[in-house]
Amino acid sequence: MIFLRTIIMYTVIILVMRIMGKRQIGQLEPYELVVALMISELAAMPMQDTAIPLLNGILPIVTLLVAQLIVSLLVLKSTRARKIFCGSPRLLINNGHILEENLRTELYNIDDLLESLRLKGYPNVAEVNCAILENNGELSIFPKNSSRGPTVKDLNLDVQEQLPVVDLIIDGKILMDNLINSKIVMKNFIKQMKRIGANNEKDILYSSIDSNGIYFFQLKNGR
Amino acid sequence: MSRTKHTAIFISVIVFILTAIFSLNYYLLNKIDNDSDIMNEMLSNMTKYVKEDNFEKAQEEYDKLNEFWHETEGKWSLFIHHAKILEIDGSFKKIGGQIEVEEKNQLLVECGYIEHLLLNVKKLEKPTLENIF
Repeated sequence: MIFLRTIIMYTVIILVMRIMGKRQIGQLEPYELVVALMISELAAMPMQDTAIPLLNGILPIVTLLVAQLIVSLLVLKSTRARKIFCGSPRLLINNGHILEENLRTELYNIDDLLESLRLKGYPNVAEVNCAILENNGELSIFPKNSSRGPTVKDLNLDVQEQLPVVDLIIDGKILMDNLINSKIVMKNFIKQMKRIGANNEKDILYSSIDSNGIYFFQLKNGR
Repeated sequence: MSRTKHTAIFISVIVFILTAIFSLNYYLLNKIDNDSDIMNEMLSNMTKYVKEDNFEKAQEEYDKLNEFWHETEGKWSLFIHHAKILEIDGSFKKIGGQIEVEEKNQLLVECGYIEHLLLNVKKLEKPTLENIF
């Protein structure tokens, strides 16, 4: 009974989280965090206690889904709603100077700030041009020019834009769509496979092609 | 997909889910209301026969009530805490036994108790301010 109830609740939550969108599983805004916490609690109750009807768990979860969809729509459409539900980013360091007033407003103490800076590789506040506390609680740090590494632009280099690597075979299965989108001729691809000693795609654990047309192959069983 | 179309789909999903929730809620409230009214009416008839010491008629009424309860029990357990259902079920069993041994006083007390339980279920499911807060 508990097994079945758990499977049902699991399916409902997966569906609800999918409808809520990808942001729900990544970096959460305050109102999204509230929903995630409440859903976990609501789902656990009818799963453990078989005396509680499943509907009593599912109905509030679906109600939260509706509330979440409405808030997401408002946040999407109105800047004012975005400010109310998500808050707005706040500057915590400006030109190497910690803004005490803003720290107090965000209930962010100086130790938290220094810890975040250290975690991002800036142990010295003086190296930071500005630091912004984002709505999801992350700290964005912009170092002073003297403290940041040189960029391609600084070095005046002509570097080709890097495109993502395309997966071609994963665990012995050819990803046909990727092969077609990358305009790879099957005959040539098979030739490449044979060259590294694979009889067919089933012998390959992973294969990809980069933006320069260079193939990567790894055979199964560490070959 | 255009922005208007996207918003329209979004709003349609919200309206659909809200309609489903409210319809289900309306159905459940109606179901509880009707079922407990029917059972309370049967219970009143049974109590009347018990008061008149007509245990034969009371037994007939009990059988009808018991049959109706067994049909209702399964549906109620979908949305009412099972502890409440077990309590009502236990009370029905006691009534059955008390009719058999013609225990008038205990029977009247149990009938009053079960009536209270049924009214409670009905009352607790109503969308009143008292229940919300």
